[in-house]
Amino acid sequence: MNKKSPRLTTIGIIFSLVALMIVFQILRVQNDPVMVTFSEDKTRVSSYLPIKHEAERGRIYDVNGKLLAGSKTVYQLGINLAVTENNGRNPNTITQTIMQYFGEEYKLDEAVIFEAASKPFNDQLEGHIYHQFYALDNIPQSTIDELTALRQYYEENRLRFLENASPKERTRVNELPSLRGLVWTPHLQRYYPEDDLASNILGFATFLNRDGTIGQFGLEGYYNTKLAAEDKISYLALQLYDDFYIEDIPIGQSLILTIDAVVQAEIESILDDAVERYDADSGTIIVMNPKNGEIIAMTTTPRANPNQYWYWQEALGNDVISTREKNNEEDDEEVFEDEEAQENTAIVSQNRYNKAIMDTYEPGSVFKVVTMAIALQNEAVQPDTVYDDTGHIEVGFREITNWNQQGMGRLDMGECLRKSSNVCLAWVNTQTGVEKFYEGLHAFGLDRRTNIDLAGETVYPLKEPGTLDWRPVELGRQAYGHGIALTPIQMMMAISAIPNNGRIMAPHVLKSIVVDGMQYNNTPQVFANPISPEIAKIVNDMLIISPDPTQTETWNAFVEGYTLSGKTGTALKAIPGGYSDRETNATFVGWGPSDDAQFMVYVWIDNPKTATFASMVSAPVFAEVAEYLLTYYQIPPDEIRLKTVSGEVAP
Amino acid sequence: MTYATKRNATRQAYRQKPWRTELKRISQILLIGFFFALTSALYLALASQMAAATQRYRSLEYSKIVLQERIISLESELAQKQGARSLKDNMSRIGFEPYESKDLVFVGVQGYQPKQPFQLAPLYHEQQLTQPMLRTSYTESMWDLLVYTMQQYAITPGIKP
Repeated sequence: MNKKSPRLTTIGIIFSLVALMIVFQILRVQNDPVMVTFSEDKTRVSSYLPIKHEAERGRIYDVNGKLLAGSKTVYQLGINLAVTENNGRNPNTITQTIMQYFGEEYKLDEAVIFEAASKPFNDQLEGHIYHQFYALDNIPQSTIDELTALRQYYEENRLRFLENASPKERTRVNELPSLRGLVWTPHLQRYYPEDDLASNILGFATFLNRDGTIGQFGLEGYYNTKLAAEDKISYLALQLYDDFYIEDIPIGQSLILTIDAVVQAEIESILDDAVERYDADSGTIIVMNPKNGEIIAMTTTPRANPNQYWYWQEALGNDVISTREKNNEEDDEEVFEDEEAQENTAIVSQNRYNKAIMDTYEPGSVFKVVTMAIALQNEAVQPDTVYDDTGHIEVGFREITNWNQQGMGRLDMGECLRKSSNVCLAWVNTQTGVEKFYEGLHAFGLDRRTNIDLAGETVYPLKEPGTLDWRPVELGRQAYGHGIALTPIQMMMAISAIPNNGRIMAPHVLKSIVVDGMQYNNTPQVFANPISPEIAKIVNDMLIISPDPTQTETWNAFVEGYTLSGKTGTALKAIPGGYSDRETNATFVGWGPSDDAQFMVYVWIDNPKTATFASMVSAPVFAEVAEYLLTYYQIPPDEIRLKTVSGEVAP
Repeated sequence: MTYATKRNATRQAYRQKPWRTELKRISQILLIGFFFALTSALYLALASQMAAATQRYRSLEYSKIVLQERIISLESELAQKQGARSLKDNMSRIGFEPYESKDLVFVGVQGYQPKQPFQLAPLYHEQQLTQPMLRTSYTESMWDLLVYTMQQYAITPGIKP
């Protein structure tokens, strides 16, 4: 007979009892009123602490990898209420320290800070036990370093006190100065390492507005959606057994530009000197590669520091009010007493942000290059066509004269350009005719934006037949760059057809973009093809710069050893009701080497006062820039280079 | 009464001795207690190790974020120190002068490579595939597999590919 073992029975009973106890415990826990309350609290407060990772805005590099726009760590200051006064929080020390470091700058109220520093801990506060009362933001690393040292000093002081004090005295340790409870949390902020270098191209990001940073002007504005990245939130488990994952810092797409920071710095220096030398209102220089439309450098004066963009915003009357500005509402007048602030204000109010793409003006005689190219393309004239310049011509029942009211005698077309005869070019346009001339302007893209990848490009409507303000005389006036308003980039782009075999490349600043760890190169695009390579070469040869002042207006742009091409342009400034009789816009556009242009330079000096003509103002500036570029790019003088090209010497 | 019967009776009496029964019960209770204590100790040890590891992981993850921000900040600081203007100023301070075109001597150098364009990340076209990348095992037939396997054996006898 198979009798059951009493041992097995005992074990069976024990296991059954244990199982029953477990089930009982589960039921008890689920229905315990205390546990129900706890569960509700847990759901309300959440067992995870959200940690926000503010995205790093995409970086901007120059063509050689120099960082032009990055980020830096700044700190948000606050008081951790979880550190109670029993744990060493000393409201007096905290208040005094904050007032000492930030009171004046942020116009802080000592009573408000003290109230915040004395606030008792309350775990019912939103944000759970890590709730912090934030008072200040965007504190630089240097200040935090000082605060860290001060906190360390106070802690050492406490330790010394505790070592030497009697047990009774030790209870008074919390009366000692202490920065316990004062906390600083790091976050990234947009930063421009070279301050105002290329600021007209870069624009700025409104980094003080942490929840709504946007790019304004330049690249920051144009590529805002690409540079920006979404903030991420990690959920830090408060229970050690709960799973969690901390995200990496998200980063926006990074840009690699065609801009060369070294060239940029040099032309900024040259332009600043020129504006000062000629006592000009402002200046603009653009350096471009005409073969692919890459902008190598672009600057205007004055420039301001994008790390202090709020001065510009204030001057613009921007609605975006930053945290800092909120803290400084009553401080505006004082801020603008600052000399730099006044200068920054002037930039916006007078010249706008980047005159190279945002400001239109009558370019003057540099436009004659386009006029001549259209005429030759349409076979209205030939290079050897001779015109007898008597000093005046009537077009559209209005008389057109040369700048000095004098005739220049018999000129072929090349001489017309080199000596910059208004009368000759007005005559050339009459030969081209209204229809062909305006077709030509459209072909050169002068009726529209260049679509350069910088925010805020403007365009002035082309005055042409069919528009309200067009008169027949415009055919003559526009021939030499009056009665037509263009941005420097428009004018430069149109003329770039000459050194690039009749083809205009779309100007652009972006060379590559890095998306998800992959680099995408920006392929140069053809913008227009207005003239044939043959015509381009003819005009190019007409514009070769000679050192002989009797032969050309461009003699001041001559660089020893090199064959360069270029054209001056002096135009009286338009003022309400007509033209100023003394204020001018002095422009020069040139490129080199003439037969194989590696660079193209556009110089515009606005209202020079110590000299007024482009041949005396902007031509020497071009020469200075060209000489620098020839050296920087190690382009040998013609004597060597042409031998290399022809194979006479080894490359 | 036979010897065997007598012996069984003695054993039975021994087993049923009260002190032995009590000892047995005590042993059983102690055994249960021992296993309970062992399980608890094991649970506590594992839980504390897990908690410590989690804490360390959490701390390291947070440190990673702080370090990432620090690196970003330092890169900007480095860019500021290596900026075009800073370098120019530093060069001037230690006595260097910018060269001019008249100072240059051009020498032909065979095989000279100009500076390569700056590359921040792998170029997109380098990653492009002309056709979907599939393992050969997805495309070969049974016959291919047989031939391939035989070839492998032929090349390295006795070695399974």
